[in-house]
Amino acid sequence: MKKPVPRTTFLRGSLLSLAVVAGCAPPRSENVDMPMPSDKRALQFFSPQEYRTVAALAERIFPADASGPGATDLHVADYIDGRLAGAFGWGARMYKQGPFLKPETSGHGWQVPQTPRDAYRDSLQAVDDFSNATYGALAANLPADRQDDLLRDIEAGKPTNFNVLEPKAFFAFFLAHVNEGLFADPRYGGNAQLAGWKLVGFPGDPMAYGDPYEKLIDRYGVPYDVAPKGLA
Amino acid sequence: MATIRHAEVDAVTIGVGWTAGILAAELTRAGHTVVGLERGQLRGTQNFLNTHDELRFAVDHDLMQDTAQETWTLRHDLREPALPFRELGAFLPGTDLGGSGIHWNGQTFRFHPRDFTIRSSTIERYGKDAIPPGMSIADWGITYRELEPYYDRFEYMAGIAGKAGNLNGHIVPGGNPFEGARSREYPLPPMKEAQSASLLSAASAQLGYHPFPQPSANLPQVYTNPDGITRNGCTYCGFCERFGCEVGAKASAPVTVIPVALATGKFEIRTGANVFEIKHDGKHAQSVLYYDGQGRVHEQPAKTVLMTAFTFNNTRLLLNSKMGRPYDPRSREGVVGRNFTHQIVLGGSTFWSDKRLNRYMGSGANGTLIDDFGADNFDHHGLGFIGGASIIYQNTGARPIQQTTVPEGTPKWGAAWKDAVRTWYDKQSDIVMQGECKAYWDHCLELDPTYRDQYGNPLLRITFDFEEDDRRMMRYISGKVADIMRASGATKTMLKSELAAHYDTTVYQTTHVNGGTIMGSDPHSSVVNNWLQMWDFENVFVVGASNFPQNACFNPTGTVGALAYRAADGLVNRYFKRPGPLA
Repeated sequence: MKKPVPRTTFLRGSLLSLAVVAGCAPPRSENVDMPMPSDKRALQFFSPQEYRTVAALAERIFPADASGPGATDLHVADYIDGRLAGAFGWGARMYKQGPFLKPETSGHGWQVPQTPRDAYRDSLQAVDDFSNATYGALAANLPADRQDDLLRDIEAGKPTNFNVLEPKAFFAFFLAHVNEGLFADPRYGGNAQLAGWKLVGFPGDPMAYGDPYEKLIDRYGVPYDVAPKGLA
Repeated sequence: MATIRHAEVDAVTIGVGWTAGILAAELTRAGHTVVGLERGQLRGTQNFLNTHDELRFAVDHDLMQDTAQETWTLRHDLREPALPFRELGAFLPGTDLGGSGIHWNGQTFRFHPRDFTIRSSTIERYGKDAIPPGMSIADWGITYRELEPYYDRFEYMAGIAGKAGNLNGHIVPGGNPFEGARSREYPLPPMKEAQSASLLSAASAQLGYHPFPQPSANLPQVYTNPDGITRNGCTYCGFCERFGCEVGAKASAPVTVIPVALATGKFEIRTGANVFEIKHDGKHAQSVLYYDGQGRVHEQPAKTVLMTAFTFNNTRLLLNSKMGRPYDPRSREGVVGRNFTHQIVLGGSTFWSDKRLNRYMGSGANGTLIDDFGADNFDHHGLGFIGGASIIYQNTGARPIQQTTVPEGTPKWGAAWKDAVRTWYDKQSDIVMQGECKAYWDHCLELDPTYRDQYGNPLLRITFDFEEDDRRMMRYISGKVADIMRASGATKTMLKSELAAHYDTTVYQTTHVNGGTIMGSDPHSSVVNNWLQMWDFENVFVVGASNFPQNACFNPTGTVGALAYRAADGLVNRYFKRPGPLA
């Protein structure tokens, strides 16, 4: 009977060959465990390793603590995975005609031919490579305080190995998507169990209650504590 | 491919939003035939049932222009290469029936009498030198008094809720004492004031300012307008801005004027019709050419062409059709494209540790504001700038992705950020400074030499940036806001008093973009006369915020609506009876 190949070995092999094809990123030095999307759905865009990086960093952006659940519990990485798999990821509403010029001044926004998918793919590889080189391990395998250091490095623009977005721009992009994953309607895959809305006290869709706000809005100081409801 | 030619009509509108709807209602009731060409799709209240979805509508701009098909380019000065807006950001023009008048907040103002004579009034009070050399502010060629009856028409048609501050010259407590004289009270009483707004409103009153309710196109109660259209009252659901209204309480063309026009049997709306050119002989427009959804070219002949698209497209279509004299910012010759303006906006927040504000209960226009530092309502001698800003205590909702602020100094991520979001989400009250945007000789709209739309036609190139006068104005106004914040007793406050280094295409300002086809009393310096009729083409009327020679410190829709009624009056009672120049 043939001995099954450990999944980690297989993954490492495929990453190596990718690196050779791309001719840039150094091979990763470390075994990785297979990640599990939080609701056991198949990934739509991320590779398992990308998913793992995103989930780990999102958790540091919005950590579980005494006040309540964190990004992992809220399925934020799943949300971002779905987001990048859809129209947004493909830049469906982005103007894609060239020439693509480097802006001379601030204030011109996205000016690269790549899509948000491309930006994530490149940036996540760069994050892990930078993490490996700087902290000796992939982002997801670092202890929490090292992950915070890594995030601060990206936020400060330290890495020089990003090819699509500058590290600072990617960081802002990522923060925005974590925020969406925490607070968008749960039908988009994040904000699981409406935990994001519960945490802040947003009731969700007022139509779901039949409680007309027009009768409540001028009752100052009267708390409106309801279990949030989404659209679905 | 052969062009599909249609039968001639009395008027064709390019775009079907507020201005086209008003013109169509007025013209068809007078017996004229009108075809409305809308690039988007049919759309109405029935489409807005699952509308409380922040990601789809507010983040992903579901109701707004698709920049993959058509966008704009921006340069900050005449030297910089222009780059395209590759996605929406600084402003959010709508698409589909009703246009931007679907996803607006419903804040419906009249401009001040001084706004219409800004150049002459400034010179009269402060002397010629008060206007910096680069500034090209201009009088409108119409006075507030001339426009008042049309404002009144619009407000009663749309059902604006508010409190008059000046009735026939008498100052009325509770309203805006700085407004121009109204011939009668608003058709509806103000919206209910939210607690968040009331806190700052109280502080303003303490300081001797004059808070008044934000005039609202979202009905506080059921209303039947003079056209016999009945609409529901607002539910304060907190989803106006960037959303359609699922109960029809928010005024828009599809729930007011368009049904009136359709009922006559003389108004036809054609959707998926993207106009790319107006055919003309140099003096008269003859027809408009448009693509349908299958890419076929149609020709719609018309006795009059009504340009009723969003600000940018009124200008772009004139330039692409080679109509009027294009503006050249270097020689300052020409008119089409001059005096592009936006809105100068900064804001801040107050935080209240002991309050729960229920601020998700809100409406697009149920805030409170003061006009004490708007327009020329305060003495500018020695201040080094002209104009001002309205100071608004908004309560448009509390969408958790985009409408949550944390106090200054809070980290952008991590446990401390999480804690701040949780702590302050429902304990904050926001202030917006909505500043005038003055026109400059270098701020303009031209055809872009490089970038093209989905059909291969040139995009519009915007040249715009913040100017020193804007920076001084906002520093001064934010000083006043800081006083109000201090007086309010809020636990924490934060306030932006400095504009960014450059105008930023990714930072939402407002969707109040103006100019390009400005009105005036002189054909050498304006595109249309004060009936909104083109000086160079007597059967072409251009109607919208593209007519504004510069922007005031209030939202534009009230004035856009008034101008549309003015144009309709000119067409129905003058032009169709005796075609020719109206001024």
